[in-house]
Amino acid sequence: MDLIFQLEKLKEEALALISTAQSEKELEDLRVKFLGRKGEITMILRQIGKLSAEKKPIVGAKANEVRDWLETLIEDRLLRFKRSSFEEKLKSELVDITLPGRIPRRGRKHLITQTIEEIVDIFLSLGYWVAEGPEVETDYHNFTALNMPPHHPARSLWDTLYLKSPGEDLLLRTHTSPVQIRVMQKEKPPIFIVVPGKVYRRDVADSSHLPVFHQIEGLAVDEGITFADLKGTLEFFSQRMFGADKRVRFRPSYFPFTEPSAEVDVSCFCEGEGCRVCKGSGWLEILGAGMVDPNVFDEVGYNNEEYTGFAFGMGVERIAMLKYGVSDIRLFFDNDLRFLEQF
Amino acid sequence: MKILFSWLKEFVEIEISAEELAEKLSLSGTAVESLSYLGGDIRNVYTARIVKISPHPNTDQLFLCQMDAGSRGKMQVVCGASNIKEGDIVPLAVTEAVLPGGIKIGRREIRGVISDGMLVSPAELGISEDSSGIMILPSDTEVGIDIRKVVGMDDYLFEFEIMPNRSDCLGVIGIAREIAALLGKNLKLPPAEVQETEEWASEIVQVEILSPNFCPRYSARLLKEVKVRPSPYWLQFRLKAAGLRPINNVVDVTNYVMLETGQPLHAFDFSCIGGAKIVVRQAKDGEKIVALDGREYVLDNDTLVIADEKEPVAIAGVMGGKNSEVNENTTEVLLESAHFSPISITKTSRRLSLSSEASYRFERGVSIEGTVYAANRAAYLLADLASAKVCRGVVDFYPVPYQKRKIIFRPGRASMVLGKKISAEEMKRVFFSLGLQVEPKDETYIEVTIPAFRPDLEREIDLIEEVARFHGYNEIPSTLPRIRGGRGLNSYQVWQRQLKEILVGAGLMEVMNFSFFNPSLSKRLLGYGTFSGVELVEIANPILITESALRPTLIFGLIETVKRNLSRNNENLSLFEIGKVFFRKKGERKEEERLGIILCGGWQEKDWANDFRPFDFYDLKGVVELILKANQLRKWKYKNSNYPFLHPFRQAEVYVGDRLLGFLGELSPELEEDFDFSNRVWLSELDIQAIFESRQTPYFKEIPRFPPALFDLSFLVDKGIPVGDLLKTIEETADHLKKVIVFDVYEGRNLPEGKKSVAFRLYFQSASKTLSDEMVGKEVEKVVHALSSEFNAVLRKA
Ligand SMILES: [Zn+2]
Repeated sequence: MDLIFQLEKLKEEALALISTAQSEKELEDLRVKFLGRKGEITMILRQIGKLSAEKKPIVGAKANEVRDWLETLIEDRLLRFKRSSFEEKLKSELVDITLPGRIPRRGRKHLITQTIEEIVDIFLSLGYWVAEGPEVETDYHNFTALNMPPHHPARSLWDTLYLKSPGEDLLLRTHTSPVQIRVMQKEKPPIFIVVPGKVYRRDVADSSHLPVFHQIEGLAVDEGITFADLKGTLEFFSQRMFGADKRVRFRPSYFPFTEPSAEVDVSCFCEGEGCRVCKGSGWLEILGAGMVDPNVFDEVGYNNEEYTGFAFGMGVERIAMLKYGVSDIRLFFDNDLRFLEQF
Repeated sequence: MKILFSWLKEFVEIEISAEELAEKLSLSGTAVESLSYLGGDIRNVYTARIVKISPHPNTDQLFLCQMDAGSRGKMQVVCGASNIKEGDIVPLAVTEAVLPGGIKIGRREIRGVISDGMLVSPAELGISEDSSGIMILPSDTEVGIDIRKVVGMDDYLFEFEIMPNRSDCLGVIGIAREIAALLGKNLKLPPAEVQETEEWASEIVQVEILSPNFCPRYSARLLKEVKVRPSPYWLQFRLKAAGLRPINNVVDVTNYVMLETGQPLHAFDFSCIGGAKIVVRQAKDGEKIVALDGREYVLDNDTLVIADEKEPVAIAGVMGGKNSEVNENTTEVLLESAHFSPISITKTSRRLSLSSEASYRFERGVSIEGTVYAANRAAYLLADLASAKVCRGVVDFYPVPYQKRKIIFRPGRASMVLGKKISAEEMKRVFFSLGLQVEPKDETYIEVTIPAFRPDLEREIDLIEEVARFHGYNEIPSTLPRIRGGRGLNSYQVWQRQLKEILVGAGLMEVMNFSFFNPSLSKRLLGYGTFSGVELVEIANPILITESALRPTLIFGLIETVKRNLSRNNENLSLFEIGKVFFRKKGERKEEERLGIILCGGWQEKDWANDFRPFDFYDLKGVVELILKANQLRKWKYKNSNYPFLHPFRQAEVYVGDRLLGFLGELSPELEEDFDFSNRVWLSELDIQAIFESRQTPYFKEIPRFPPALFDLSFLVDKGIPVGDLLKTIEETADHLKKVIVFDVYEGRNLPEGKKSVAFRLYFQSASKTLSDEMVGKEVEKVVHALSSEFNAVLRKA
């Protein structure tokens, strides 16, 4: 039989067998059958040597062509089998993406700590630094040095907890302002500090009062500090804390250690519509402030013609209540996990 | 301080609404706490004349009244009151009327007769307590008009928050003065010109001041033929609105004038003043007086009293005495309008725990120049309302007349402090409108004279504030100062923030507790370990006896927090607190920062992916060691301790070098029972200042280039031998030892009695070469030998 014809027949036969092969094993057997050392192609190739010189190259080329074709065909089929068995394996590794993840346990900084850090960071960005002072204070630092000598009527603005301390007039500081005195007695201007810390009042806890809460005090003293600087600083703070769209309002007020003094309001989240939080006024009182009273400078030995300054103080719990919508101040010291986990 | 809008309007012309006025006042420093419309509770009540009264056909108890309500029409009402007669003008609640308290009135049938409405009493209108009969209005009252306009209910009530430095605003006139300055209007003072009799008061009353330091001025007026009776409605109404209880016309007038002027007045029944003599003196120690509140007060030498020739008749500036009280039989009244020193009144009021409208004002300082005007104003009103005959002259003890204060004021300085150029003209205008005198001196300054009613204006800066207030705080620009010297957070502040981050990252929740402590817990605490030699810092005036000391430890606050959470079914608690503790040690008072940690439950509840594992000692120890490791500490050690609030066999103290950092352990089972815990509670308290000071900075070590060799060893040792001791020996014995892990500790079955098995995995590694099996074997041999000779440890398998 003509070798070319045999090759064509072989090709046909192989195609039929390979394309219907059902497994890798079958394909491997077919490879041996056609291409193996005793395979059908090999057999044909062996016969080429007997052919005439003219026919040799023609049949040889044809045989090689068929062999290559077969090899490619088998490889291709094998690959297809492999791929599908890999896919089977992957399929078996399916996960249920709706099952809850294993979330690593995470605690929380207390909302008050978070709020203090937030406020302090705003002032750090302006160039302020952080000063701290004792919670047990002397009557002198808490009142007298802040322009409230004994029997000053303004002392009644703070209900004070006094300590049993024979020979010393000790109390729990009613505000962070005594730290102003401590810092100024130690250092000369320029002073640009914020003072976070716990303060104490002889108040029974209710939804808006606590006997222990947190304040942040600010103090800026240098040559040429103005009331306009106070306004600009507190506007910057309020807008960073509560939003760039917030308006800030200053109302005259009274504190013994500042003159002029101001209460500072920020526009309410209700955008002036009036709501329960702002009691319909459209404004939220957030802090007290003023220019440092010259008597305070006298007390710490600063020249009050040369230096001017401003001070401000805010209740951290109040700021947090306003910013995060907390309805009852007692929640901060209640430490209910369901509260703490929210922030 | 509560004041009616109509009252303010008497003294200054106000063309803006009450709301606008409130806003303007608040923005200029007179804080308006609340503003309310009084007539809001009343609707459809009109004045009407009783045209005819006839009997009710079906009952003797009631009458039929034919009413003429002018433009509102004519109607018939059924009424049971007996104080009315034909021709009276009365308030008539017509159909759809509403009275205070939400009471609705309508047309209805009463015992078979239609009643178109109801006649009302003063109490029903809410203007007085009088419910004895229908309110009879003056006979010239127009009919058919809204009752609110007639009885003063068509009015607003301002509630002001007056700052302690503004005693002048504790009177209507003071606030009216602020309004006048604000609106550019003139202040009109109420009339006080008195018609006097021929008789000189000074010839009847004798006034002697023995303590002029405490009483620098005493003015008095004598009134005769006084008819004591209830005050007219309008006066009662204003007092009630201000929060004062009407009593009789004499007492009411003294209160009324105090509300107007801020000057407290007192009225004595002159017939009760023995010897017709007023003596202002310090009380004798132990002297007693029954005050108008009916209580007896024992006085001392620091208390100033008003006395007659033999006994006190008033606690000066605080409260009058019962013995000289004005009553319905009084005919002669001595009106006192005095000035007392604020400090004296403050002390007395505090010592007697007694305060009054008068003492409140005297404590804050009243104008010494205002006494005579107030006495005259009261006499003027009593001449009208009590038909009083006013004796001639004011008895006025005033030895040292007031020297008006003068302040040098530099407009340039004001502009500099405020950060805005404001004209000197504007500043002068502000001062003038506030009743200050202004005298220009030269280009750079003016001299401002301060009247006695503004004791708060002492210095140039006080005047700068007045300029700022009336210029408007919100008209001043906003600038930022140039800040120099910034130094950010200090290293401790940075470190503390990081410490909190580490704890939070490890799954602990930060809590905050009050700094108070219940001293009854101290027997469980003081005297041991970190608390030896510790004494409590106590509060002199605590809110609660259970909060009468300052906490010397954070742990009880943490225990309470856990308890509270468990009671609310919040389980699996891992909490920490950083806060101050307070104590005395060797007589020295300390205030130090501590870190408290408490664990109760487990790290997590059981779920589809994780099992529940209850906290044990090693979870707590792990948290402590996390902190120590994060601070690069290496050589920490534990010692047995005996804190009575901890489990006796589950507690330790932790040290770095010789420095005690704190303790850790399980809450004593006794206390667990006391606190009603069904779960185990693990707690620790550490001195974070000590950790901060012991912390180390990491220093780079070459990363080893040669592979480690692992070797597992398992030993059988006596149960009582601490694993830590074995570890220490291993670490001290073997060279090239990178680390050791305790990978198994086992007690129980298959082991000899009293023994435990401990398995270690040793990692050997050299920085300079790959270790040969031979070298590792040699080290392992050293370890086995050392453990065997030191602890009798038997190698189980290698
Ligand atoms: Zn609002």
